[in-house]
Amino acid sequence: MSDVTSYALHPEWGGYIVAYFYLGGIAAGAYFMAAIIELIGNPEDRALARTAYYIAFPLVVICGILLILDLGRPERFWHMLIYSKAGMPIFKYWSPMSVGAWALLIFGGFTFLSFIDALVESRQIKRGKGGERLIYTGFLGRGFAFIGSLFGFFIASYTGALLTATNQPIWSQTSLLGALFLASSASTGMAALLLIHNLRRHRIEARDGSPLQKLQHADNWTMLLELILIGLIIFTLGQNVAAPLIKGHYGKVLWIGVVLLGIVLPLILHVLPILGTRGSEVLAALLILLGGFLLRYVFVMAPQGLYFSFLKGLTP
Amino acid sequence: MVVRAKGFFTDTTVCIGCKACQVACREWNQDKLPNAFEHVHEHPPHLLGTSYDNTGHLSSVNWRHVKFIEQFSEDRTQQSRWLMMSDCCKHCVNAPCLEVCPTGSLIRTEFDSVYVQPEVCNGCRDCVAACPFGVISYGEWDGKVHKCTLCYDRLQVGLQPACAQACPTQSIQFGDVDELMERAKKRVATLHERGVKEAYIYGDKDILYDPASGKGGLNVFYLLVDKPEVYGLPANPQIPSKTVPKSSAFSILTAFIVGLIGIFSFRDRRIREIQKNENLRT
Repeated sequence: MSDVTSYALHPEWGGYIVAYFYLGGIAAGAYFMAAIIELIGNPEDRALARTAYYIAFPLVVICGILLILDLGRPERFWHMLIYSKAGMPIFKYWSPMSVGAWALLIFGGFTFLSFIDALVESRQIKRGKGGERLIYTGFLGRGFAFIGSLFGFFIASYTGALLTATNQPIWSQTSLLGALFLASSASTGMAALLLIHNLRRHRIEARDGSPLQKLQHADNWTMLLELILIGLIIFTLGQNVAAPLIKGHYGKVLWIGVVLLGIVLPLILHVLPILGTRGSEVLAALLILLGGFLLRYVFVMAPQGLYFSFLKGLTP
Repeated sequence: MVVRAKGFFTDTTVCIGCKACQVACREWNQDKLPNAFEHVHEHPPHLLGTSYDNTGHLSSVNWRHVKFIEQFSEDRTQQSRWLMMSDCCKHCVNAPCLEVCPTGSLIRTEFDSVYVQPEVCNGCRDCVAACPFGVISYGEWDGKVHKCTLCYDRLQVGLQPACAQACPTQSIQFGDVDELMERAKKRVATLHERGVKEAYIYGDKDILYDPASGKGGLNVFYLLVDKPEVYGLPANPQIPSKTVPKSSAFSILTAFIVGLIGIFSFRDRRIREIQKNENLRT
């Protein structure tokens, strides 16, 4: 990748956008795992799926709020979906932000129905005799899970495509950001589920073949994929272009926060549970969640030269 | 419906850096901009103070900017020249800002110019990220983006843009883009004849060219005598949507891999079903 001088101004997408990319990713990753469980999991895996539904919907709501707060004119958030001068829906399939706004709305609908469904199933909401499922039954239910997870995957990855579809340095010079964000979303979504289930009083046993063990197995492979994608992005960008990511303040956050603490150490803790099974899992999940957040921080902020004031201590 | 594309041909070789265009722009558009003097103590104007080029760049309040490019060697004898260029929105034929705008705030007018509808913009700033020239800017003062309108309000009543009218040297020439381009090419040929071999047009069809539509170029184009980078212009700007298919393909491939990881990790129900069937058979 040649060194290209950029004259583009930065959009100043800061904390709200980093938080949106991160939380939206967790929601999408968790929802995807729930869909996998719906499609091929055991009845004993269902507790994990329910937890995924419990976290996905509130996170999507928070995401919507974050996006609204980031706008220069928050009261005009609906302009993302409706062309205000004509009162008609606006959808530009070639604009990642336009497609993303619609996808978030639809994914919100899916997560809402799944959330209600989980409440009904766990008898938080009484319906009939209670404990019955609302939507996830039979072929239609599986179709719902599958389509919902596709929207989830879209939410996880379009954010990367959105950054690439600009004329900003780094963002526009790699086509792998969407892939990286997707892998990170899946990994952090799984980590959130692992964390919640390990912190519950009646946690699912992490024995061989248990739901948590399967989730951990999936997360390990996803983290490896994430690591490969980070390497590929840096390699394809080349040292000069990737310099803001790999050197100085962001370099420290990337190598220590994202790679070492967020990927390598959790992998070690998963393979060698040196703090006991539960302690290692909790710590690993926390580190994965931290790494996922710092990953968004580095890739969103570094090309714009922005940073969080609480990370100022790491500035060179 | 575009009747005939309007634009500017900016001949930088005759610009004298008088800034009449910049003043005219600010004066004509003062009703759309914050009062520069109202909050001057809280928000003093950002002026460089190190050059005749005081404003430094285009911004949400400076829709025109005269660049002063100072090319002087250390002792001022080897090289000493000022390049001046009056810059504004390029009103690209394939405008990246217009392409990515999710709200429909950015539109193409009947004059083929690119216009921000302030009543629609919600300040998402995707256009700021997309513009390769650093033209469109976010206004902290009203939460919307701003840029040159090609004096849309003046064009609608048959006037020419304020900057072109104010330019005393005809460095900024307004008119139909095809006619302006012919004029520009003749001017380049003249300059070549006179020994200015480095003169060329920046903004012909090759810039932001879309092979699918066969269209490209800038409705506001320039005659330059040095590399584009010297003038703060990108040599090879990109159309943002061109990156989307490749980006999507990699995302889909990764989704597929993550899906397989999930399936392989949670596949034992199917295995158990098969085992159960086999047990029943035996």
